[in-house]
Amino acid sequence: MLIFVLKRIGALVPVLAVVAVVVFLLMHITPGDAAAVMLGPEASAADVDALRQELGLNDPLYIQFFGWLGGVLTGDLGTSPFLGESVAAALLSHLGPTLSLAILAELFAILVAVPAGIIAARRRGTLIDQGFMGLTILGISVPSFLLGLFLILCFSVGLRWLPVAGYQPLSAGLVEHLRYLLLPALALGSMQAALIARMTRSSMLDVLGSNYMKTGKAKGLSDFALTYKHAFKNASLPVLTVVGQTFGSLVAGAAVVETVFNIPGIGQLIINSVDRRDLVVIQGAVLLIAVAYVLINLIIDILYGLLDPRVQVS
Amino acid sequence: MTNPALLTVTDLKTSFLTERGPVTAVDGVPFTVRRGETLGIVGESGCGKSVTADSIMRLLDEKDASYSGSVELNGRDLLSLPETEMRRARGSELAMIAQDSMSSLNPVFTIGNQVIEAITVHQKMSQKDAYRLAISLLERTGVPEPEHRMTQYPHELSGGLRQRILIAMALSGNPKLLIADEPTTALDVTTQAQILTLIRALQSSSDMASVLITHDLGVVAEMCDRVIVMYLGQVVEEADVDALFDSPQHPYTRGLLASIPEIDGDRSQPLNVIAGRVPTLHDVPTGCRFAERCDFATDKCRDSAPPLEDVTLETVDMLAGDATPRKVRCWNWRHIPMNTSATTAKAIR
Repeated sequence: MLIFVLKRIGALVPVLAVVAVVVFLLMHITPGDAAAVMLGPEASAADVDALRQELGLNDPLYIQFFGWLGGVLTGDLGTSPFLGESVAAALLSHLGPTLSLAILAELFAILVAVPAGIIAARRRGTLIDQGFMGLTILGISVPSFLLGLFLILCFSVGLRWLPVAGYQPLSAGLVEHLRYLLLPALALGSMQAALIARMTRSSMLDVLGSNYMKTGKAKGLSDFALTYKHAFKNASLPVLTVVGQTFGSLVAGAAVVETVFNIPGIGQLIINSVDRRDLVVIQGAVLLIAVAYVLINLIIDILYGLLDPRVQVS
Repeated sequence: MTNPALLTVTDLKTSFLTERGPVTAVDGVPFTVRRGETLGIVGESGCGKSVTADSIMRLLDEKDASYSGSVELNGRDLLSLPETEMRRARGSELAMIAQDSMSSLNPVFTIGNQVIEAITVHQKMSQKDAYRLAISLLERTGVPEPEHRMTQYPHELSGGLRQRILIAMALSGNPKLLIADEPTTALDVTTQAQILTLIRALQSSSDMASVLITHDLGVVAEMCDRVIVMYLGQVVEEADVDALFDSPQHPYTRGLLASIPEIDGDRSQPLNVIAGRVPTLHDVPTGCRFAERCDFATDKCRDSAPPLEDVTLETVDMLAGDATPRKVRCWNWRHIPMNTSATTAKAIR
C-alpha cells in the first residue's frame, strides 16, 4: 500500500511541472504587455515601466520562470499591486469560505444522493426510481444561481429562517457559520447530488447483476448485507470518481454561487481580480485550483487503492 | 429403490417478463434427485439448464421472473416459502457452485472474509471458531496454504483455486443438495479433472446429492447417476447414465451424442452437427420443439407437442434389468432406428 501511495505521488511530479509552466506563461500569453494591461489605458509610461520593473518583466523568460518557481515553492506568489498584500495571504483568506462551502455542499450531495441512488437501483423501474431520476434531471438542468435565488426567496425572504446573503467564519460559532452557508451549499450541491445519484444508481445496477451477487444470494445472505456490503463497496468506485471531480469543480467553480450569496471565497476573488486585471492574483488562484484538483485526484486514487485491491496491482 | 427422493421437482415453469413479452425459459420440468445421487442436466446453451438451477434456489430477481409448479426439498415446497425462510435454506440445506469462478467471488473482499461470512450467516459461532472452520473447509477442498489464502483477494488466485474456494463456501453449511452449474466450464482441462474428482470425493464422504449442470457429455459420463436432457425449456429425455449412452431414445439426445468428436476419428470427414439452430423462446413451435431440426419428423410432430412419456421395459428389450424409469418426449421413439450414436457414446467413455 505504501509503495502504491508513493508511486501515485511520484506520478504527480510531471503533472505539477506542466501546471507550473502553463500557469507561469499565463502572464506572458495575455495579449499586450502585462504591466500595461494591469494598469489600464490611462496609465503613464513611467508607471508601466515601474510595474514592469517590479514584476521583473524585463528579465529573460527563464530567469523569470525560475525566480517565480522558487517563490512558489517557498510560498511566495508575489504581491498584488491592487490589494497591497501578498497573493498567498489573499488566497488563504478567501480559501476558508470556499472550502467550507464546498465541503458542506459535497456532504449534502453525498448524504442525499448515495441513498437515493441505491434505493432507485433496488427499485429499478418503479415509480420511486422514476421519481428520483426525474429529480436528478431537474437537479442537473436548473442553474445554481437560479436555485440560489429561489432558495433565498423561500427561506430568507418568505419564511425568514435564514440570512439572505453574507458569510460568518467558523470563529463566529458553528451554528452561525452554518446558518449562512446552508442555502449556498444547497444551491451548489444539488447538481452534484444529481450527478452522484445517477452514477450510484447505474453503478449499483451493474454490480447487482454480477455473478458474485448471485454467489452471495446463494450463500443465504440477506438483501441488506448483499446491497450494503457486497454491492455498495464495488459500486462506490465510480461514485468516488464523480465525487472527486465534483469536489474539484466546487473548489474551482463556486464563483456564481459565491456572487449570489456574497461569500468572500476564491471565486469572488477571481472575479474581482479579473475585473481589475490583477494578473498576479489570477495567476496565483489558477495555480491554487490546479494544485487542488491534482491533490483531490491523488486522494481519490489512494481511496481507490484502499477500496479495490486490484487497483494497487495495475 | 428404497432410497427416498430428496428433491422432487414437479412441472416447474419459470417465466420472464421481457421487452418483447413474457417468455417461459423453463416449461414444465419434472425430475427427482435421491439422497447421494448425482443428476446431470445437459443441453445446448439457452435450453434452460441454468434457469432451472436458479429456480430451484430461487436466485432470480422475482420482480421479472415468476415460478410455478413445485420444488420439494425433503417434502417442503421451496417455491411457496416466504423469502426469509428461503434465505435460511440457501447455503444450508441446498447450496450452489457457480459457473464462472473468475467472477463469482467478490473482488473487493478477502477470501477469508467471504468464506467466514458463508459460515456465520447460518451458524452462530465466534469469529475464531468460524476462522478455524473456514481453514478446515479450505483444507477439505484441497486449497494449499489455507492460512495464507484467507488473507488474499480473489484476483490473486488461479481459476481452479477460486473454484475450490467456491466449493468450500458451498459446503460450509453441510448442504443436503449441491447444485453445480457448469462448475468446470471456465477451467482448463487438467483443472477440470481435479475439480470433478474433488466434487465426487466430497460427495462420497457425505450423503450429499447433487445436480450437475453441464453441456459436456464427458463430464456426465464421468460423474452422473442419472441424466435429463433439456431442449428449449423442456425435458426431452430422462434415463440412467448408462442407459442414456447405450440407447439414447430421443433424436436430439442421439444428435448430441453423435456430435462428440472422436479422438481417432477421420479428420477428412466434417464433424457431426445437429442441423439448424435452437428457436428463440419468443417463437416456440406449436408441435414438437425439436421437429424442425429432426431427421425423423413427421406431420404429427409439427402439429402437436408430444408428452414426456415413460419408456417401458417391454418396449425396449435392451433395457432389461434397468430399474429406474426412463422417459422420452417424442411421438416416434419406438420407430426410430438405432444409429451409430450409441457406438460413439461408448467410444467416449
